[in-house]
Amino acid sequence: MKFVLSSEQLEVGTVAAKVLGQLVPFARLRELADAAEAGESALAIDEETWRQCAELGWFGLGIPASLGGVGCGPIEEVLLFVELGRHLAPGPFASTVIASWVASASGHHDLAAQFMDGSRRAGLVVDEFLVDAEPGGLVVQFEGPSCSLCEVGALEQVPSVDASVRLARRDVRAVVARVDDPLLAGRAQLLISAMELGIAQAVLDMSVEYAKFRTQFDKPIGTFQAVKHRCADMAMRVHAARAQTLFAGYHVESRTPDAAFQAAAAKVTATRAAKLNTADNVQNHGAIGFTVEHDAGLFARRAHMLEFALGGERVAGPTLLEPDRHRFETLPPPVAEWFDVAATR
Amino acid sequence: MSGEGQTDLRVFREEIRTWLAENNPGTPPPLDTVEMREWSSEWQRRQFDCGWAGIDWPVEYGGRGLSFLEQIVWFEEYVQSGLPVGHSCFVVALAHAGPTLIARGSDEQKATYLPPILRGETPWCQGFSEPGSGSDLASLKTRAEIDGDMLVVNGQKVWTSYAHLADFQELLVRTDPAAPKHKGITWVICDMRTPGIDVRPIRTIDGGAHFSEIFYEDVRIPIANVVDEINQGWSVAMSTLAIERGPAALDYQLGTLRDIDALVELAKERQLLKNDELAARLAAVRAEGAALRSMTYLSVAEAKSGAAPSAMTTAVRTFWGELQHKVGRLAIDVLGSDSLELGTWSAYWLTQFSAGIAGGTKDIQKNIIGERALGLPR
Repeated sequence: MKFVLSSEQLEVGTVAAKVLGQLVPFARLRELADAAEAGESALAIDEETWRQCAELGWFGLGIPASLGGVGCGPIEEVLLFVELGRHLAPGPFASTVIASWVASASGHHDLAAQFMDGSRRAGLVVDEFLVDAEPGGLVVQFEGPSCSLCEVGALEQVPSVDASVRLARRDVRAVVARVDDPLLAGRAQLLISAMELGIAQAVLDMSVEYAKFRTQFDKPIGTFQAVKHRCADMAMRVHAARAQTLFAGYHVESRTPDAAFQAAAAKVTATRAAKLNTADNVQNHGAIGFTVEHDAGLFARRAHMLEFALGGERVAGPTLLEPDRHRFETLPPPVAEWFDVAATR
Repeated sequence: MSGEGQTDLRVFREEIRTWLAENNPGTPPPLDTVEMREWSSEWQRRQFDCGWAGIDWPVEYGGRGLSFLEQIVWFEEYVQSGLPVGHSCFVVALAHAGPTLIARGSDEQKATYLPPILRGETPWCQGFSEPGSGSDLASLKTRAEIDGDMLVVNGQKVWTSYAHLADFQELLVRTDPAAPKHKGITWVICDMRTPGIDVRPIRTIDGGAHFSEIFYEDVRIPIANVVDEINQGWSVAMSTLAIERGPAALDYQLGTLRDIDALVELAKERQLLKNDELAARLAAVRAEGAALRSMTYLSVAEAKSGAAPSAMTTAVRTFWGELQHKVGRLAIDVLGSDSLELGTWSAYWLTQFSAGIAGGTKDIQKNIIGERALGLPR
């Protein structure tokens, strides 16, 4: 992937990985989850950490520089969100980024500035739930080709499968801002796909490390084909999800006619990678993977929360089945560039 | 790429589309027979005469010398036009032997063998697997003794596609039985008309008759036909396998996407998309089809950038094989009991069993992914 992505692009991921390792190591993640479960905090992540992320430009990464953002595109967003997924970063990162887009594109520049500087966050509507919504806050809601920012009504919290993700019953009031852009949902799907990809990669790494040093019958368990092949399956899913998420990123960036199709394919591929890999990872670890002390469960729970974001496969499915055929004629210019090398073989 | 480059590409694509529409042979290729060789040869020659053969092959060997981008556009338009891909006795020559010779052959070998391949004159076959050497290919036993400037070959190969139609074979032989198994193998070009070669057909479960086993009795091959050096054959074969598991099969991979499209169309005709389970499985294979294309393009881009072929290139091949398994089973579920009648989709279902075996079983491929890409112990 070194050739395909520029060093500036790769830097986005490298910086994010370093910062997240310091700001929200898994010990901190567990503290935050415990506080949420004990009802001590209404927020999935503390104000200070959130502001530090904002200072890095994460909430305005894909907003044009002329509108106060960083001026990057979907590829950089994907690279950032892969790391957010890999580190199980708690908090409404995806929905706040989407909220910045919506506020900015609908001319609500003051609101956009608040999302970008970290003073406001937005939750996400997922069917009958609100994810990481705050009392008196805003949530992002997708309906067909439109995406709205809505006020939250009463916030009735319900227990969440992933304690580091806050879940409440849906109560949505007035629309504050709205954008009609059929591609926005696709671009948003890529943020979720990227987090799922990060999760799938993280648990692959965990499994491989464990399979190398855990011995039974006087051998590392990674020598056994049952374990080795399960790891190979996990690696193939990661490979597929990464390729498709990046490929779709270029399509969305270039706004090709099948960008929505490609983004839906990324969501389905990445969702499968995350849910199957997190399950295989528990299996690879045996009983220790089933304990609460082990991180394997954290990944399985987060993958579960992301599976249904933006309608999940129920929304992606029809987008994938609608066209008569796969389209080949719209290679995004950056993809075309990969191959534009004189014949040397 | 500049805006101008994009325009050029659109023009190039249009040109291909028009040419294929006007020159499409119109009839499907006959199956596994001498007529197939004639059909494929004529069609390949027509492509060559009009400048559509070897788009990214060097000009000096009859190619167009363009970039892989133009080659990809050709594959995409070829598949889009509905022309059949996959079953042709020129597959090994074009997608396998040719690229291997370009990568590892001498100038003389390239000049001798590459132009006739592009002109559609010389089908090739592969001589790798043996009865005792499948997944453990490096254990192969077919012997070649050096006698002056000749190799004298004795042994047996098996699972050879289109051997009965081929002029040449990429043959792996053991030249040093004393050396460690990977170090004593030689990759040699074998003329299939050499005395002592006996080709016997093997029928496959999908009714195909393109498979053979081949017996070699004192077959004399000039040492000049050795590609690279004597005893370097394993490294040459590995470059071939990297090609086989990577970009060479791009048109066939895109063919799988077209098969998926046809299956979705069939499900729509039968109003089966309201069946949630079938709709979800169809959507999943469509997504995986898209991902297959993305994976291939990424791995090709990496290979073209000069990076060593990553072991994850194997993952593309394995992923593709498993996708074909899914498409085959899904076709049966879309058709229901209508699939009892032998037809396109029931034949597809029978053929897809080979997708986890050909070019290295998916089991050995997963070992390779586990050991070489992930670094798991052997």
